[in-house]
Amino acid sequence: MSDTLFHNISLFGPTLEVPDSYNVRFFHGDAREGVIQLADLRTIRLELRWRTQRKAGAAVLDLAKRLEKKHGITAQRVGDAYVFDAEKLRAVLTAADGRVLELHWPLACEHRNRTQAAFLASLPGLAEPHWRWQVYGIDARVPRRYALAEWQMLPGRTTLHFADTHWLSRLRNTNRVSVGTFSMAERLLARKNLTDFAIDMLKPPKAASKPAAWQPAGEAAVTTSFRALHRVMFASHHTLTVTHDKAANRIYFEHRIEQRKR
Amino acid sequence: MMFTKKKPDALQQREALLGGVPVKNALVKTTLRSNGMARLSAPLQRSWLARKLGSDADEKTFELDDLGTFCWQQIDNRRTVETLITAFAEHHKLNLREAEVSVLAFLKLLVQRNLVAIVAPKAKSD
Repeated sequence: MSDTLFHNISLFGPTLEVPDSYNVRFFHGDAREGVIQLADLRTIRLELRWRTQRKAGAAVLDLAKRLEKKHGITAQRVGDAYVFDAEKLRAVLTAADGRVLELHWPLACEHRNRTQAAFLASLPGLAEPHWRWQVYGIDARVPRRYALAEWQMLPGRTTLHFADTHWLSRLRNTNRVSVGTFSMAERLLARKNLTDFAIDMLKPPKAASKPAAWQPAGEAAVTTSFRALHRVMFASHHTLTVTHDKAANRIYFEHRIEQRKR
Repeated sequence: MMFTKKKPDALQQREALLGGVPVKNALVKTTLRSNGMARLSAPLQRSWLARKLGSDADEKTFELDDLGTFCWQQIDNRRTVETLITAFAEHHKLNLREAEVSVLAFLKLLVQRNLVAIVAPKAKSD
């Protein structure tokens, strides 16, 4: 029996259940079009590509036929997906949510069936109003209409910033969500408690109407909410939650900014 | 081309790096400070200019933090780079990718300071 541990990586909708040793090596793009490469210490093991296309189902069929012809192999049908399982090509092609999705394994992988099943099972979730984002210890649900505006994936710190794509929100630069994790929580909290850490590392905006009061939320978490004057007519409401996960030795934070009329 | 050297592919290079064994410079002395952190002392070869100027420093010291000390203590001239990365990840409950970036950066620094050399694994004969 294999003792491999698995974890989920979800970016831009689909979920990939992969061995713990696989991590994001490269990613580029947005919800419309992009690519994610997952690698272990040695090499790239998995690549997911997607692109928004009219008549995505027909495009997948066309692509599958071309690949069958090019490589001289026949794709298997698993639901709506075309599965290629040969040395020349290890891939899954499918269409979901108006996107063409291609999952490629450059090398043979013993856990392929599990990854493939989880990937296909996650596709109906693309149509839901919230997408789950899971990467480097982050696990957050963010409204689908929020776009990934900025990200940092540094050793020890991972942060994803999302911004509402609605034109009014873009104009006012409000309705945003930031989620992130810090590794080595023991070191970070060696000389300060979680509240002090939250104040130091996640500084509330200067425009806050009053100093944020941090409240305990659960066993190892603190939260605060405050209002910041943003523009003449509007104030933004901030909610910041910082959680210490002792078992994972990580600190998680979630900062939600919503705009409401004064 | 006659004299072009065949470049090893990325996977081979990666295998060579991960299979490499960091070996401590035998001249480097390690002392543990009262706070548990390591201090490394390496003999300094004085340049002619330093001799002319009368510099009498004959060793250079490097003070490591707790992460560096852990890495340094893991180097036993037998463990491979991959083992170091895995041990670092497990000890600090880090993701392998995070550990990889940190450990490789630290090893690079040690190699640049001539405190450590990385012995490449023997090439497998076909």
